[in-house]
Parts: sequence; C-alpha cells; structure tokens
Amino acid sequence: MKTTREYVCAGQPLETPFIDVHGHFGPWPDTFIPHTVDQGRIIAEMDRYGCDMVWMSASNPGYAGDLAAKNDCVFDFAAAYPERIIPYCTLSSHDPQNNVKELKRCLARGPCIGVKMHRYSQPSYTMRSDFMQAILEILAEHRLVYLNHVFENVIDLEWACDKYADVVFIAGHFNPGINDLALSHPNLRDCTCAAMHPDAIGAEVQRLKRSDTMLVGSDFSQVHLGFGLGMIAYGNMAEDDKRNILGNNALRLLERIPWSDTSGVLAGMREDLGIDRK
Amino acid sequence: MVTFFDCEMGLGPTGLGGAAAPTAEALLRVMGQYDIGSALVYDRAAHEAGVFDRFDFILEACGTSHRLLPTIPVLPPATREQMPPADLVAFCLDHGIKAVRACPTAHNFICDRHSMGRLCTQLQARRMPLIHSSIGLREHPYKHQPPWHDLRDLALAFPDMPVIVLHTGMMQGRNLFTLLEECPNVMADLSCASFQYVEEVVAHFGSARLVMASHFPAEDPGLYTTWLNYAKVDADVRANIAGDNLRRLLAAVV
Ligand SMILES: [Zn+2]
Repeated sequence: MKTTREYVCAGQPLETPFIDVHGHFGPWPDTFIPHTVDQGRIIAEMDRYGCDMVWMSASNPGYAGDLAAKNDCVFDFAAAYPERIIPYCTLSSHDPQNNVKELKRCLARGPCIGVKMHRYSQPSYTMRSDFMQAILEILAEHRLVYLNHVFENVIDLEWACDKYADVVFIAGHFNPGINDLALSHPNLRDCTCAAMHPDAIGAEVQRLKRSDTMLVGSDFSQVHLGFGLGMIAYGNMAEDDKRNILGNNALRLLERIPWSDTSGVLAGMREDLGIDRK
Repeated sequence: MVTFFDCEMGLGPTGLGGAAAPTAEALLRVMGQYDIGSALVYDRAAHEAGVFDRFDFILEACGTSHRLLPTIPVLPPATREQMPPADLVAFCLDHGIKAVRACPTAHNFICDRHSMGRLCTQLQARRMPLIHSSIGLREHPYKHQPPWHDLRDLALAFPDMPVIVLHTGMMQGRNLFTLLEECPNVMADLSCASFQYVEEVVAHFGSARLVMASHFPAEDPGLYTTWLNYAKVDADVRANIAGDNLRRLLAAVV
C-alpha cells in the first residue's frame, strides 16, 4: 500500500480511514465562502480526498442567528449523508438555560457526536460553570464528545476530565499543552486544526513519542479539506502515526459510542482497519 | 505528480523561533520534502531585521543552485534607504533578480502610487513583478486584511506591472475577488483558504491569476501543495497554478 504522502502527492483519495473531527456547515456572514451550503460539492471534495467522515458543527457556532435553526442546518445535512457527516450539537453561553433542551432535541434527531462550543462573541465560561454541568452529564451518559474552540481555563478542564470520565474532551485547535495534559487524562484529545508552522505535528509526535492524543481537523467546509491533511501528510513521523491522527484515533472514539453499533456508519471503515476492538 | 514553483520561501536564520532553513542546502531539503522544484527566495533574517541595502547573502546562497531565485525587498524611494529606483532595477537585472518584494506592514510604509510611484514606473517598464505581502511578522493569517485600497490604487496606476498579492487573508474573498475583477494585472496566492476558492477563481477569472506560495518558514508548505493536488481543476490548470504562471511571468521580464 502507498504511503499517505504518496497518495497526497498524486492527489489520489486516501484508502486508510480519514475522519476530520472539526468541521462546520452553514452560511458565513463575514466572509465569502463559495457554494458554502452546497452539500454535493462538500461530499465531492471529501470523495476526492478519500475523506470518510467529517464531524460538523454549525457555522458561526453559538454566536449568530437562531441556534436551533443553525443546528438543523447541520443535522439536515447529516440526515442526507448519514455515513459521511456526523453532527455536533452546537451550544452557546448566550442562552445557558436552554442548552439542555436544545441538546436533547438534537440527540433525538439521530446520531450526534456530541457538543461543540466556541468562545467568540459570547459570555466567558469554563468547564466548571454551572450551566455546563447538565450538558456534561448528558454527554457522559451517552459517552459522547465535547469539542471546544479553545479551553481557556486548564484547571477547570482537568477537573471536568476527572469528573466526567465518560466524556471525551477535544481542544479544537493545535496546542502542545493539551497533549501534555492528555498524557495524564485519557479522555482528553487535541485537534490538529490550524497547526500552521512547518511540520508542527511531526515535531509534536516526536516530542510525545506517541500519536494517540491527536485528531485531524480542518474547519472544513469553511476552508478546504487540505487544511487538515496537508499538515500531516508530509510530516516527519511514522506512517502509523499519520494514520492514527488521520482516522484511527477518531475511529476508536466512535467505537465507544453506543449508537455506532446500530447506525452502520463504521461498517466500511472497520473492514479496512482491523483495529483492536476490546 | 505536481512539482511546484514556490513564490515565497524564506532563507536564512530567524529570530522568531520555530522552523528555519539557515542555508541553501537546508532550504533545498525542505523543498524536496514538499516537491517544490524551484522557489523565489528572500533573505529571512534581513526581512525580520530590516536590512535593505545588502543583498550578498541571498545572491550567494541562490548562486549555489539554479532552483533558488533571489528576490529583494523594496521601500519607498523617498527615504533613500536603497539605491535610486532606476539603479535598483538595473542592479536586479544584472544579478538575476526578476521580482521584488514590498512588505508594507513588516516594514511600516504605505504601498500606493504616491509612495512607490517612482519605483513602480521602473518596474513596469521592465514588466518586473512586485510581490506584495502585508502580513505582520507575528500575525496569524486567519484575520489578516491586506490594505485593499492601496493595492487597488497601485494596480490601477501601473496596469502593466504584475502585482502578486501574497497573504490575502484567509477570509477576505469579498475584497480579493473584487480586486481580481477590477485589475487584470493582479495575481494572488492560495492563502484565501475558503472552500472552493481555487475552483471559483479559475471559473471566473481563469487559471492565470493564481500562484503557489508556501510561506516557509512561517507556514507549512503542505497546506498549499495538498490543496492544489486535490483541487477539482484540469491538469493544465493545476500546472499553471503550481508553477507555469510564475514561470511565464518571470520569462516576460525585459
Ligand atoms: Zn472551527
């Protein structure tokens, strides 16, 4: 089998699992994204790259328009392509008293990977904020994921990792500090999104001597899908490390979610992967 | 497989931490890693430190490989920090320098027809490209906004001078597309990272308007090479953007 770099240099679809855990879907008010809500073009781009699946939250997550409508936009896309698009329920600190209701509404719609929250243009909060506890309890009950743009209060993040051991916390943008914490918190991951500096991810794998704490992300479809794959494909790390970050690590997270057994979304990828399923 | 002609690579040490290619040999190794065949190269240390009148390092380093093509920074002629414009352009042509770089944020000046007119008159006469990069030394490209009014002013005033806009900002499509539509002499790199950006520019303005710039050592070249490798465009379009556009532009310098 060819290496990831060889596939990328040839512009050929990857044949190993490729799951992007940090995507967005919907219109953007402050920037021009051509064909931003064209579902067919998004899936076609995923096909060209060999991207199996993108976990997607709303555009302008939690700080634009009607939150339920923004979530429906993503969940409708996921309903049309249930094996390719897995939605996050996007929540906001603007409306803390309604977050539980919105999360339950989204969970009732079908497979949902968890909750995504941003920081921009909303009141500050930490993982210890009162309104967060009911959200994290629900995520723990369903063994889901909590993705945040950036965890500003690391002490409270560590507290939440310990208290909600069944929730997997993902930091939305590349941050070696999160990888350090992940060594002592098995339910913490770092997303590689926006690792801009040359071979930042390869250097991080060499520093950590492991690749199981990182998951590829790109902010696709606000930006192109290469914004995640491109920083990994050429990196100075072993092929197994690239495959972990590009898909195998996310697959392990999916496997622990109860709905993954019944929804069939993993059927194809499991065949290829042959990962250790305890 | 696509081989790239990179419009912006920094050579030499950096004082900002992170990656760097201190020597030509080191830069060639980076280029090999990303399938970059040739590159327009600038002196990274001089760029950071503000050295505008000594070009020996970049010329010597680029002299060691035909794959490295030197570029130099330019400033408003009024300050007289550099040779007079006619002499500067003659120096460039004598030393194989076929493009110059204006970095108005890093070097703190306004780059419009008033400040740069005397130099641009000389560049235009030679069809020598002006590479424009307005990103700050520690600025993140996501929210970067080039000085669009100044760029339009300059491009309209010197319609036969190619202007290559690097670091357009990742989310500035509404301003960039307007500039591309109004000014046929403007080209842009791939830093406007929007979904479908490459495909859309090609559809509306043709494949001659884009170049690949890796922005090494500030950014990972794989960000741009990967994108172009997978873009939904024909092979000749991909080849134009990957390097043929830049090659043609430099061949047209007189
Ligand atoms: Zn995002």
